Amino acid sequence: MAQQNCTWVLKMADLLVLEILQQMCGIQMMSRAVEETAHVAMDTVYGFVDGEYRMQLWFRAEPRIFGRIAGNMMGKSPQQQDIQDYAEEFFNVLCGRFVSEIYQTTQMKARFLPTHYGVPPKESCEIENKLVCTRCFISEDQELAEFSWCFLNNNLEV
Amino acid sequence: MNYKLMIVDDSRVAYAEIQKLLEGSEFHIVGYCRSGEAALESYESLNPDVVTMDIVMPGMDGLETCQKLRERWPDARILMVSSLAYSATMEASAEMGAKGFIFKPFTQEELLSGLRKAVSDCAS
Repeated sequence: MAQQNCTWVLKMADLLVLEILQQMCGIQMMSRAVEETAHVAMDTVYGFVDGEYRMQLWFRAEPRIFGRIAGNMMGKSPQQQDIQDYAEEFFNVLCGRFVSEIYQTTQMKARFLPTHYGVPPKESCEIENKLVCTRCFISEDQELAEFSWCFLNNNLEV
Repeated sequence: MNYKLMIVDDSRVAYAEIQKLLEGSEFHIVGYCRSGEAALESYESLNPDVVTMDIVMPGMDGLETCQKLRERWPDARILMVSSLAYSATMEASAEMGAKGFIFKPFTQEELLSGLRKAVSDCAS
């Protein structure tokens, strides 16, 4: 079951990120194979899901991507606070759609908690040594982004 | 005819997006509430024709706010707005008398269509 589900979750994650970036923010990216991004400066927006399953999710991207998300949605040059607020709203929508899609297939419900822009707390995935799934994306300007998640309990190992 | 709209959403970004998409339309925003509690306090004085209601909010969520608004003002027209698409949530909001449900991210067409349906019983 876990193995079966894995493929559709990965595909679904790819589609959602690309669709929401395009529709909500006017940004076109492409999926690509996992990148080594340790050398790239990236900012993070993250959140948690809690309910019939628990999950941590985060979206890392080069700062220019977050600037474009806010700038494109606002239609003008954003301030730093705008960049954070728009990143959080983008990620709220992404998380909402992600857990909705999981619900459509598994009928398991969870609620996502308010998302944050910044450094995720050092808990959950790393400490609990859980498997982290990551999808990578690249823009036509070669900017990198990643969407990652990990399930924190065994109710739903997808 | 112009319609008065109240937005209930904890995100100022969502408010800004709706404001941008409604520019030049028949809907004008008369109030913006960042919580369900604030919506209940403001509804009577703002007297909107229609309300957009986020579901996931800290404190009182959108479903509970919808229920309380409809208990106090049974004619309140409420359009639920969320990225969370649980069928049970959609059914519950319909049972509470919400006029519709649109999913984030939405287009201008989807927003206007949802709002127009919600106010379709307004006296012209």
